[in-house]
Amino acid sequence: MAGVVKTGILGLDAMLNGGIPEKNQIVLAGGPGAGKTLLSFEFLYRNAKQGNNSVMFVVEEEAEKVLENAKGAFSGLKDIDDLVKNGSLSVEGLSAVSNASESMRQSSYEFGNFISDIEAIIADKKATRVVIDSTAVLEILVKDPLMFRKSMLALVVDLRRLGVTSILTAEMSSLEKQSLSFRPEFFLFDGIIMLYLSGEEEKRMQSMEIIKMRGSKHSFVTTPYDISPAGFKVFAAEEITQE
Amino acid sequence: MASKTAARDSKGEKLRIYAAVIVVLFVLAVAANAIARNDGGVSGCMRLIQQSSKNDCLSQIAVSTGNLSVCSLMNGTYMNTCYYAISLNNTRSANCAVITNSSLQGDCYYAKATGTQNYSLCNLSGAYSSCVMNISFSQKNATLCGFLQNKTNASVCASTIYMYNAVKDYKPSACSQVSDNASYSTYSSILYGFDRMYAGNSSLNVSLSTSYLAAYLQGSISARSICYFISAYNTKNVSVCGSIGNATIRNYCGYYANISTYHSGALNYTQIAAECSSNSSASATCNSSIALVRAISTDNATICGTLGQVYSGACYFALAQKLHNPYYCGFISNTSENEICVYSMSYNQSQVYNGTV
Repeated sequence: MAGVVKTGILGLDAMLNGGIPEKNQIVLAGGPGAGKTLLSFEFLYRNAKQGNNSVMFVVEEEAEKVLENAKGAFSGLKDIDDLVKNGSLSVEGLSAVSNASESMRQSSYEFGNFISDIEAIIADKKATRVVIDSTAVLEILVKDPLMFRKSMLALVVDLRRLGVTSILTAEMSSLEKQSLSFRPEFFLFDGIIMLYLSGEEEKRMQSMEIIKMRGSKHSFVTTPYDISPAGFKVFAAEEITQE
Repeated sequence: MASKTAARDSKGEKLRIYAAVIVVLFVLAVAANAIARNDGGVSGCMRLIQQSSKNDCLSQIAVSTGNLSVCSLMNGTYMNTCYYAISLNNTRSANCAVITNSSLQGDCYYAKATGTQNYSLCNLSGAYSSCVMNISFSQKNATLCGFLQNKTNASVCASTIYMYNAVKDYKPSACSQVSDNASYSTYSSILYGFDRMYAGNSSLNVSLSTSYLAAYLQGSISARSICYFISAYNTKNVSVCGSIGNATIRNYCGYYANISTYHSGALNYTQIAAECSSNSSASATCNSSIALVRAISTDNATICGTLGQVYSGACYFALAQKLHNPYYCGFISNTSENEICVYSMSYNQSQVYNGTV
């Protein structure tokens, strides 16, 4: 039986009943500003600290910018640079994905190239933990809905074949829980974690819910979280058992 | 020289004293923090300087004692999460009403309703339908779905439970009660509910993921078809696939049920051959079945090529799965079935043949 990959994020592993089942492919969905990039970055950081090579592919921003943002938000995590330097934690931007940036702008870049480029980097880094942030750009790359479905499937299949444990972030149009709906491609993933943002200004509340996590008896309770310089803190109420 | 040595000694002494002072101060700070956390609680927490330490300290006391008033000493977000944590603890009578953030308050009622199986609290959750559905799922009780006034939601709720029961009890006939609505919102809701009811159960993973995969690639398929698909695989009964309307899914179901039957040892070449020979009106179907099983038993793809389209597809599909080699999928002439064959192999098994054929 496969083991679990601890996220190392305070409170989240309790919700996950230990962690993410190894080699699972997870989608982390939420509206803008919910903390998808930071949460997935912390997952990689914590795993890199445990000696698991981790790589993040950012397809919407420059890698350096994402890294700087993460260091700014997690100012208490002093060893990010060390992990980057020793190669156990990598943030790869479009420029690193084999000229994808330029090709994408020229609309000549195909999804298949994207997958093979990602595969090459994962092999080169010997990574076992992977984040792709985010899938929104890929949807722009493949406009036909059926082709997009097949392309996403090809991506998930490839990650599965490579044996990595991965998180793919997905952008939702709404922040509110009630107006969110699941997208067809979510079916492909072994797990779905949703991030919600509710309330206004100083009463803003962030919470998360594990919709599914195949192979795991996880919590179904929507749980608030906070982002601090020391990382995420998920206020998991372990006393609650639902089923 | 002597004066320089004395100066160095004096400097070293000073450094040692500074270091000792720093160590003492550090130990005192740690001790003060520990004392603050343990000296009877709240007042000790309030003496902590760092707001985050203060919040952590207060929240530990509040949750361990169930004292809501301690939460009120914290600032906004922490106060509400503190209330939330206490309210969720089912053994205490604390109330979600104290939470000032309306969304979190709704989540609190939702969690409490589902945690205690008390559907009357769903009214306060802000997500009544989902709340009642989850309680119904937990109790595996379709009659509770009757509390949902929205007919679509009630149908989704009941269908999910019927599907669960049909699969769990190995009763494919019960799939007829599952909704046949092929709209994405309906079947996806049922499948997510079903996934939830089967959370942690890995025995269905293969048939679940392959049938979901088929639904994903086909774009439109009813939950009832998925129910038949999974049931055919589980009961190793190919005839169950005949109830599926979509031809591609029906064939795919048949292939998969055949493989499941073959692996279970139930599909026996000698037995089928004996049955066919004892039947004077041995049909082409019977002969094709024999050839199919012989091809699979002997890993002989040449035989697959001699069969008609349906049996040929089934034959190549089964060989591909058995030998973990997607090469054989390439001989399936139906494009959709070929695609599903290739994808399902790596999707389910993480095994793609890398050698030569």
